[in-house]
Amino acid sequence: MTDHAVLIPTSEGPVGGIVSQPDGTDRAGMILLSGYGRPARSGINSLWARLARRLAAMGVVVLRVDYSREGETLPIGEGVSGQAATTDLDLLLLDQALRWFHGRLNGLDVFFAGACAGGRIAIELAGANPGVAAGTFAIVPSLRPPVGSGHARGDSKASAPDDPDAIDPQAIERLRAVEDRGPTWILTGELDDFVTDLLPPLLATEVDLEVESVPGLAIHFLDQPVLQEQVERRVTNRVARVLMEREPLG
Amino acid sequence: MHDRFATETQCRTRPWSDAGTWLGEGLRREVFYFPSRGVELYGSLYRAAETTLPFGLVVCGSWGVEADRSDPLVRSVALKTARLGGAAIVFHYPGYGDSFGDSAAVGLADLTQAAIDAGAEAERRCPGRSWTFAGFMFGAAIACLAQRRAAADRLLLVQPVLRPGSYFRWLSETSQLLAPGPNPKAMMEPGTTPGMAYGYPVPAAIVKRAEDADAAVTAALAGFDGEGTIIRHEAARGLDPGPMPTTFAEIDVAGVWRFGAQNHPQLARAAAEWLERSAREGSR
Repeated sequence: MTDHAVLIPTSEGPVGGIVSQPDGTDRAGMILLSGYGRPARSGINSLWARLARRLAAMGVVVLRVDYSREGETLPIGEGVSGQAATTDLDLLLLDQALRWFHGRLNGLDVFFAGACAGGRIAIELAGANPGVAAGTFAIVPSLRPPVGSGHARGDSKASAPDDPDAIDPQAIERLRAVEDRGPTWILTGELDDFVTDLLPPLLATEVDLEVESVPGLAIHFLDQPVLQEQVERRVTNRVARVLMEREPLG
Repeated sequence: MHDRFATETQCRTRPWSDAGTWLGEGLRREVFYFPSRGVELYGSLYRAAETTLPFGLVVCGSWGVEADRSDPLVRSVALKTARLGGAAIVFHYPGYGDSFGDSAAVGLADLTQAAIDAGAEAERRCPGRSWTFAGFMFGAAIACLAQRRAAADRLLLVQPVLRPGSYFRWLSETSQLLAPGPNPKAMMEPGTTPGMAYGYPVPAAIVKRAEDADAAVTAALAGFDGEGTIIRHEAARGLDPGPMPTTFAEIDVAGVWRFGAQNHPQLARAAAEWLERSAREGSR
């Protein structure tokens, strides 16, 4: 595989990214989205860079990008503050990055993968672009409405329940939009309460998804080798299974 | 539901190597990989679309979590240099960020060579400049060593740590929490994983010969007779950065430094002012 550094043109300026390209046949694309903590795109101790390279060795063309206010994407987003405003800007940039990426994939479908805030953004992007989605892999995703969003501001269009700990209804809408396109898989740690607490109501909505839980661990910080190994191995295995299902031998 | 995959020739995607350049707002940006000791390293060149200044910066960032947290400072300095009409290269050390390599196995010579190769790559892409090594925190030690090898005549050191061996030894033993920031307190809790500091492996080879590493930087500075500038807050708490060279111009910045601090707006402002002065002098 080969890593290519790219600057993706958007309406706001260039978004920095890395494309990990397989040596052989390209089997699918993937946008791999980190959480919001630094170093976003590559991950602590290059977790996401390593995972992207492993997936590329399996035939997946993987794009990782810097969010607004970070890395190569600076100065886009300077002066923007607040979780909702930042997320809105990132969704605007990522939607354009997705079009750029998909336009170079010769019609291949795209997996959407991400962790924490990136997991939620992966769900948002996939749901907004179901025509290209091949599957969604969300690692300890944030499922509550972002602070300062329509829900939190009391925007009537958000039509969220009164409970501030409830799942953002838009997340459920987005998951429904892609359930016929490929698997939706949520990876969490048994001790990641901010995800596990929401799983019963999420599963009660009967959205088609799979949940995998790592016993005895909270995995969301992803800062230690043991946590990184769990995520690398489980994501790699799950992607391999989807590729096999899409492209059965014989 | 899904199309079956076609033949290999049909499935090759468009090449990506043509997508590493961007032009706009008076700037030319290039991102790329370049080789150093057989390892592909990540580089990013910021330059004016029409360079008017004869100088450039080779930006030597810090290490591990401190590199993560000071990345906006490093980027702001590179961007400012380009906007003033110059050029600057930012790169990732072997094993860090988007570079290939194993950060646990690197030695001081690998890190120094990475800085020298980054400078050579910058000169190849934007020739005819006088390149200044600019070191940030731990990266200041690397800038000093690279300057000696490359015989550069200017050094810019921002919040410098000039004892790289002691730095890694301190990291491998510390239980100090990071400066407050957006990450939760428990994240990267130091002392929880042997050989790791704040989520990154500490290079054992450098720790093992810490005194030699410190002495190498001292010797490099002793032999430097060019123009040096230090920009810094009051000394770090819990981490001894080593004695500062007395022949350097020193720009003191208000406030006390703390390991793992984020964004560094005051250091960025002081560095920008230094760049503006240098640009004025350079254009005369």
